Amino acid sequence: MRAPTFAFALALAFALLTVAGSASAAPFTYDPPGGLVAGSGKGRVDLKVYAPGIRFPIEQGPAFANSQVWGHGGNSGPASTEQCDAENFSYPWHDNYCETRAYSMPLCPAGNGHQGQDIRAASCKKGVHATVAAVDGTITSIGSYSVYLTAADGTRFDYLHMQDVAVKVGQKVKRGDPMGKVSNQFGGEATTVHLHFNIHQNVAGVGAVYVPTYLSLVQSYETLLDPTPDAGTDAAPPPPPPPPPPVIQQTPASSDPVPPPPAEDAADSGCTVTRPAPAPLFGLALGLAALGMIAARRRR
Amino acid sequence: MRAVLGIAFVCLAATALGCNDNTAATVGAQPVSTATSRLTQGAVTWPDASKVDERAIAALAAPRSDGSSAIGSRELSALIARSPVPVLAPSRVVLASPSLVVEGEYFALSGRVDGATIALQGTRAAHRYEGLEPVAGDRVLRATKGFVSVNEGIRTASWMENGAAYSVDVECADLVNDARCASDDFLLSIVAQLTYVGGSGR
Repeated sequence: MRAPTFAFALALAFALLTVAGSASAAPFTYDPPGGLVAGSGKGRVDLKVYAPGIRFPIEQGPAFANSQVWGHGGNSGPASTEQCDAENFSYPWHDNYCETRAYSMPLCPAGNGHQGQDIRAASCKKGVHATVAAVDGTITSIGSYSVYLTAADGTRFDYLHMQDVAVKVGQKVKRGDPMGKVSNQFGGEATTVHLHFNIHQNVAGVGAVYVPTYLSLVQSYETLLDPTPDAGTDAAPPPPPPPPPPVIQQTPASSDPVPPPPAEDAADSGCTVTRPAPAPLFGLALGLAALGMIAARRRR
Repeated sequence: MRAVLGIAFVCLAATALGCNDNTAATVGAQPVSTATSRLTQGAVTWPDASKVDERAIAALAAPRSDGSSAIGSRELSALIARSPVPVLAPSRVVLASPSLVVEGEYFALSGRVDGATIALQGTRAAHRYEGLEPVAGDRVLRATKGFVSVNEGIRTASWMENGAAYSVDVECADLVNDARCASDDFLLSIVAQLTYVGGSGR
């Protein structure tokens, strides 16, 4: 009887370690909104969620929001590297709305900049990772490398650089419906394999403009990673889920103005995860229960 | 007993490892503003019915010489009649495979011209954000101020007209060699030639 019991204990221990290990392997962290890659321009520090409750536009995680131009393999990225570099596929996320560009962007501090957010899927393979509709709406235009999905209020969600487009102009889609595959289509040229995602919205006092995308994506990604019955599923109703207070990690790469300094130094704590994980508490409870059993037996 | 001790040890070890997941890594927690906006409906002003450009309507419904589909004239009339904002359409450029979508607070017209995709949209719903200051456009478009931008090679113009927000996008299939996407000229010519073709307030 002892051998099976010991084997069971080992199996349980391994399972617990696996849970704890996997939870800490790829914790989701993100830089603050407006914290662009150093030297890539001045971001917009804005905590508003311009499209609350959207479905994350890539079907499955992990996914990585960062700059395709200033990342590995980009025109302004680190020299002698390529787009499949592991750093491009790691956390934390980086905002790249308002990253340096030449044309008007009225909501950017510099008056010009990048219109949306670059998102890499789980790998650098093109034509593999599915994109999905962020909202219920209608496909209003398909260009050679763009697909526009428009919600009833006129807010438009732009999906760029896809291949295997799965929708047609005029088609009504539901939140979570397939849109295409993440790729590198770019008007006869090739860009890195990523989804460029815009939110184009009529803002009172400004007009129809590209609004900040980053925190809408953060919120939707957190829901994708940790769905609840009321949020993030295809069947979920449009009202936004109550967002958890964001925990924002600052990385040293950014030299742009960012929100207030950290309350505690992450390096000192030795912990980097921003999402609560149940595994440690479960492990603590089990451990204490086992010690309790030992104590009870000794008393007998 | 050994098994229980083993479980106790490993569970506590897992707890220690789990530190990575939920301890004081919190850095600069900040509230996200989720009461994001108040959706308002613009007071749409309708052009006089005499200004409806029947030729532009006919161009959307006319058979295409290149064999691409047009919008059936009945369907087109019905769609235009439902639009909550005045529908604008090109008066000189003929769109191949045109499509008109009318939903909720907006209309969207799209089609192709020799390898370039034109996408026009008008909406009356505006998102009003607290603390977001008005910004005036830096370009003159259709006798008002607007914006011209380039998004991944896609040229976009936006402006306010008739109490609604309009935008036009031009995207070239051959971004390198198509001169229409090398400057704003083609985009601005599309914006300038838009004419009123109707709507629910017609």
